[in-house]
Amino acid sequence: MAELILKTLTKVYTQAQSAAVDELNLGVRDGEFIALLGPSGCGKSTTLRMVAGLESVTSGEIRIGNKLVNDLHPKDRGVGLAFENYALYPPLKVRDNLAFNLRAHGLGAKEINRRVDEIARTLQIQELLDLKPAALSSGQKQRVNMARAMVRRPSVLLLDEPLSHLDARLRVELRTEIKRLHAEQRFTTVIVTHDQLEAMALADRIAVMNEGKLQQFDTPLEVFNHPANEFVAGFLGEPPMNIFRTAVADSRRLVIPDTDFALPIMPAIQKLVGSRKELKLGIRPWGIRVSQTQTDGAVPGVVVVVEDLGDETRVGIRYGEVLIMSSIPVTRRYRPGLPVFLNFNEEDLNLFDPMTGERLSDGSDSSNQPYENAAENEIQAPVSR
Amino acid sequence: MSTTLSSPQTQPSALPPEGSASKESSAHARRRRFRPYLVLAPALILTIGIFIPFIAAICLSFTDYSLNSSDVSFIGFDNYLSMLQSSDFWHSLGITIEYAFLCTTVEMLLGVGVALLLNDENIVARFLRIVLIFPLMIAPVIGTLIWKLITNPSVGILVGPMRMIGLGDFKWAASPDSAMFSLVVVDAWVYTPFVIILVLAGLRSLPKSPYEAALIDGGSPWFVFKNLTLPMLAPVLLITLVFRLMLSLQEFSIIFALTEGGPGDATMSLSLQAYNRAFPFYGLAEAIPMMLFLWALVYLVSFILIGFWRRAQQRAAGVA
Ligand SMILES: Nc1ncnc2c1ncn2[C@@H]1O[C@H](COP(=O)(O)OP(=O)(O)O)[C@@H](O)[C@H]1O
Ligand SMILES: [Mg+2]
Repeated sequence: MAELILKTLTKVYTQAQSAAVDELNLGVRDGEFIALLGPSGCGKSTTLRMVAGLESVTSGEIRIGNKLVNDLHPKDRGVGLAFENYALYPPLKVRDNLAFNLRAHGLGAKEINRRVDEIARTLQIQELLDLKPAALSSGQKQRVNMARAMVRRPSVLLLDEPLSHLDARLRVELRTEIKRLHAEQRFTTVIVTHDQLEAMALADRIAVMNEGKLQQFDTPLEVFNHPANEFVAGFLGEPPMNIFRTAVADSRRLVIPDTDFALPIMPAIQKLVGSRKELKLGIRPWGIRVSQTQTDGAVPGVVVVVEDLGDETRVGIRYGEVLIMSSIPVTRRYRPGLPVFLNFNEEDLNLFDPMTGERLSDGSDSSNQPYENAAENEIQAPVSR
Repeated sequence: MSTTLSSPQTQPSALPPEGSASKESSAHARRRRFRPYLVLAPALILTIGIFIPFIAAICLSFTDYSLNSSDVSFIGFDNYLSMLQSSDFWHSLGITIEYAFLCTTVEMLLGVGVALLLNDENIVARFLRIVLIFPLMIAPVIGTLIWKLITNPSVGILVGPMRMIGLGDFKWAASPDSAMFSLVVVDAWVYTPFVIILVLAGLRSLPKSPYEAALIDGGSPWFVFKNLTLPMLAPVLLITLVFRLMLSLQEFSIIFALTEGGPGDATMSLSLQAYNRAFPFYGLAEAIPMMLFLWALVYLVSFILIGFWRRAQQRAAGVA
């Protein structure tokens, strides 16, 4: 087990116009579980494959346990990789799939059997040991795939979308399993996923990526509550955060031009707004309260959509081009055409620069600051965006 | 020879749906009814074309038919018995098996080795992969004559180099001691590219991802070859082996062009033995039992190997 540090790691595939991974900085602590989260094609697998040594590095550094491994053969890096497509050895039984690495390293037959049986017990695949991969279901293949990555006791365990090919029930089951395994074995683990729930549920910290660039690297709650930019804000959460462009009217109100939307600028965000003429406002659906009585600072509107989901009711209010969704406790009170008033929770407001999409920050909010004063600066590589 | 392989498997299946026939013209219906048989006709003709000579040959083998006499009488199994009692036959059988075994072994080892080397993305490999097809376009007889030319004691280009390594008086096909060796060299020279091409095609169709897994798992190239490549490649190897065994057991043209079975009868394989009996010595009826024996041998070997191939295929797919 060891820490994993990526420094300005970059990969440009030959004949590609842009970098698949662009100056990625990431520090994973010893024993930590992090998730690489991002949409399909954002460079997650490429990052993992570079760490494993299956792709060459265009520039930057990969350090495992403080040792530069850029030019090390994959087998000497001490990594275990659970492949996105399983990549099991088709002609070999599960037992021999698991033993491949141990045999290649010349371990004795007794020790090999012991370790294979042990990992098979951990992942509950004992009864599969004498089957060939073709006879396994996808859930079983995924378990074998992970067992093969873990049986060597890697310094860094890399899991590439281990849950994405499974059906919903199996996914939740294996997710719990992975969490338990990590608590038990404490491998430094990087899991790749495009599923935000998976990342939130599993990881100590989440690295959100988009188009090869790191967007934010922080704990699940920080990433969720204080997204570093518009992309992260929009990517996490279901239903997604309401993000819309507003103009600043006489330094006192945020308005959507030509509509009734007018939100008084609260003291808490006064400083952030400053002298801006325009900004983007972000608020999660459950940060908006809907009522039928006018209160101070409430925004008037008319209901256009109502979705009753059983455990919550979603109410949509339209202002010109903008549809604002709110999520409220179940009620039968609202129906389309009803005039209502929206109350925005002050602490749930997120402000973004309308040009760059960056979160507006006054510096007092430490959530998206680099860990510049942390003692273990090396490990907690600066968050870049 | 290979009647069993070409027996038609297709079944007529173009029966018109019920009820529609009455509405159609009778000419159309008739055409429809005959269509399946028309489609089968080429296979039928081919089968008959192979069967008739085959049956005729078997019939002839029970007579004393000869190319230079006109009266033919039935003599039962005499031709077969005399074949089994003739030492020439057993000698030729030994030569045939030796030849097939040596050629196949050399070509498979060499072919797999070279294919592994060429299964790489560099300029040399890419160039050689294209060039490899050319030797296969040359008829084996021509290939043999080319080889004869380059080992010719007075004009051959190989004589100089042979002299340099102290083998200036190496006799090649002219000496009974080295005739078989020369044959194997020529056969390998002619047919190894065939093995290389088949094995290369097999190698290039293997899945890539297990090799990435093996890269991380580690292990020497030999370890990976033995545990991963060999089992996955086994079906292709076995099919290649079947082809080479079948053809080298029956090989005629190379031996005929290089040694004519000599010196003496040092390289007199069954094909040559039968040919010699049938034509220079007019004993066609005597030659047929040998050809039938050879056919049975080839059939048996192929049958066994194809059984192995089926199992290897299942194993490679991970089914068995
Ligand atoms: N072998 C390759 N050659 C060229 N481009 C590639 C290759 N592999 C991936 N890419 C490109 O790099 C980008 C990132 O891919 P990938 O890392 O697989 O994304 P993710 O795993 O996040 O879905 C994509 O645009 C993809 O098309
Ligand atoms: Mg991927």
